[in-house]
Amino acid sequence: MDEKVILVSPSGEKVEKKIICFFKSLDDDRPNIKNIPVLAVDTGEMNGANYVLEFYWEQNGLFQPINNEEAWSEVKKTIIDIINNKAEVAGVL
Amino acid sequence: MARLILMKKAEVAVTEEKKGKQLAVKENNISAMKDFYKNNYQVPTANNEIVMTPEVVPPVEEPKVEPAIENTIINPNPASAENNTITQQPIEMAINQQENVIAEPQSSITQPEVIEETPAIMETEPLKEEVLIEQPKEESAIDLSSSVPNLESETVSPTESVELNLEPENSLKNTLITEENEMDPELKEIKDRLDKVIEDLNNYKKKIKILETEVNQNLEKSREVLKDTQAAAQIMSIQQQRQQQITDEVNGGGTLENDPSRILQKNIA
Repeated sequence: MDEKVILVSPSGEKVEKKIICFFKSLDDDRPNIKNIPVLAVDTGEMNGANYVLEFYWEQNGLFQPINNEEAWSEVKKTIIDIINNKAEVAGVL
Repeated sequence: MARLILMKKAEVAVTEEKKGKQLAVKENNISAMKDFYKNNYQVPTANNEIVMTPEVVPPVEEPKVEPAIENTIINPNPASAENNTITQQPIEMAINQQENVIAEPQSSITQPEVIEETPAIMETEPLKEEVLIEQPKEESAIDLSSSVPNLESETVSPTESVELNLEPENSLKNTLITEENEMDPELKEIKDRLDKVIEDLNNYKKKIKILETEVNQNLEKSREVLKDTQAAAQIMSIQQQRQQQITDEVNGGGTLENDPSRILQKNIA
């Protein structure tokens, strides 16, 4: 069964999404996302033959789109590490 | 290896801007991510029951389910996806930094960014560090000496990316995947380190090439300046010679005894 999360907006609107991955990086060479929760959810949309995922990161207690290009680059690297089986789990929270 | 802590929350607060940063990802890549998350988050208890723990605990050392990862392609150009270049062969994954595939999360007509892994690039292909040059492990297993541009090189163009056609190497790749999965963990670690060293070496090579180019350019400029200087020196020398000639003429023909009018007067007298 897919893990799910509810996204709650300031207006109180709730949207349930399927979690693809939810993590915090501990790597020093990824300083822009180190110890910052990153949430990847399935939008349920398609782009051609590809599935569209959305990524949020936590800033000041709120999850929001990753608007920092360096952080976004580091998130993509981490995703590729996960896909290529080059990620290890240091713990669960 | 990326080190992560996996998290789980039932609810999260989001901003009004509901659309997150988007990526278009192949189905098998999504499966890999999901499996990674689910398999590593669940921690077996002493009774070997699987529970989801809210506490921070170290992961249980049990064999991880290896996702069926093929080369994940992420063709940044949806048009090329329509050409079936993705579907007809194992998918490679690359990161495409080109602007035309970057999605604007706020846009209602959003084209999600397509994550693409650039293939192992030969020495002639400069790539920015952000472009994932890293091949899937089977690629590096095939040729450890191939240059694998670093994602974060600062001197490489950010917009270039190269797709690697892995079609002829599928069977070899699959074999190597199997072999690598059976590899001793220590060997794997050594291999990973070697890959990193190779990566760094290739980066240095690129930087050296760039510096060489700059040195050559500066050398060329210096030569031109030298030519100009020599030409100027010649001109000055010629001018000095002429000056000297003029001086000599003035001095040589200026004495009274040699003055033609004096000589004539003497003869008359």
